[in-house]
Amino acid sequence: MTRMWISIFIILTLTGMSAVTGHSIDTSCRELIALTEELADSAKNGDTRQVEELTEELAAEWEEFRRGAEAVVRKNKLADVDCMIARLKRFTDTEADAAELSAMIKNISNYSEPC
Amino acid sequence: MSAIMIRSIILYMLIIFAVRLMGKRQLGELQPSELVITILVSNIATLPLEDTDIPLLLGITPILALVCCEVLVSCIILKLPFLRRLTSGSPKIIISNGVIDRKALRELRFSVDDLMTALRGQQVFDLAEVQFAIVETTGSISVMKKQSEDTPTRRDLGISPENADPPQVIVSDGRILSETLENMGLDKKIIPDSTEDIFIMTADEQGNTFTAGKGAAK
Repeated sequence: MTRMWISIFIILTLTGMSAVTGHSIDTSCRELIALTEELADSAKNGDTRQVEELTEELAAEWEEFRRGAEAVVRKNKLADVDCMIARLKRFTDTEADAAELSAMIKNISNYSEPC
Repeated sequence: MSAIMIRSIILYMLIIFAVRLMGKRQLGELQPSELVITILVSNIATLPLEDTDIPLLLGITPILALVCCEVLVSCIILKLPFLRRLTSGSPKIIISNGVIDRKALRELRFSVDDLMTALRGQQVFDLAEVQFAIVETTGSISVMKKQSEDTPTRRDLGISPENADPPQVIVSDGRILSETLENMGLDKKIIPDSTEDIFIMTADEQGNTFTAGKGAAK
């Protein structure tokens, strides 16, 4: 009977942990996607100052998310996005073409281009 | 390197905990569901060891979930016999009244060689000695010999039975096991003053002792 109660306790703990981490990651991802959409709009409007500020903010938010997500998400997946964010930062620093910048932001929000 | 070392130690402890949680069963006595869980757990445990990109938590979670589900299902099937038949199957009689059931053997995909091997494992070397044999859900075979071939009991021979527990170890490697002595209701006086030279000393409830010294048995 002790084994059964231990098992029930573990199952409930795992279910709780899954729900909490799932919700937390989902919320963080939504926030990051909202930020990239905002960034895309700014890039489309040609507001370079806003783009630079939002890129900094996105990089900071991503860094904070990545530290927590490392415990539950495969590192290579996180590394892909990490590279894309780093490339985006370099891109905005060099004042590149707006269309190319928009395409890159789209890739980040869709996670469609490997690094 | 250190990450792999730490992961290995954590997973080692986790697997021991998981096996202990599943209970005392020997490998040959595993029910089909337990065998599946054991194979799955051993496979999952290697994933975070081989690939450090996979977080340790992604290895620990399925192992714990599978083992706990197995424990819960095994508790539930104690109450529900139909579920037990569904997950573990039911024992199959292969020899009844000394006659081999060939249909049952075919169903179990048991060849004659398999049958003879299993019987030899039960110390039966002549098929003619077998009255009844059954294949258990664990895959092991249980055999009942014909009465004419069976070992006579004390009752058959008219010898009065001695209902006594087997002797227990009271000195191990020179160390007196006081708790065992107390449980058996024996006095410490039966043990020699110096136990340094004693490797093993056993005693039964009547106080009969056997001593094996560190040199040779006495």
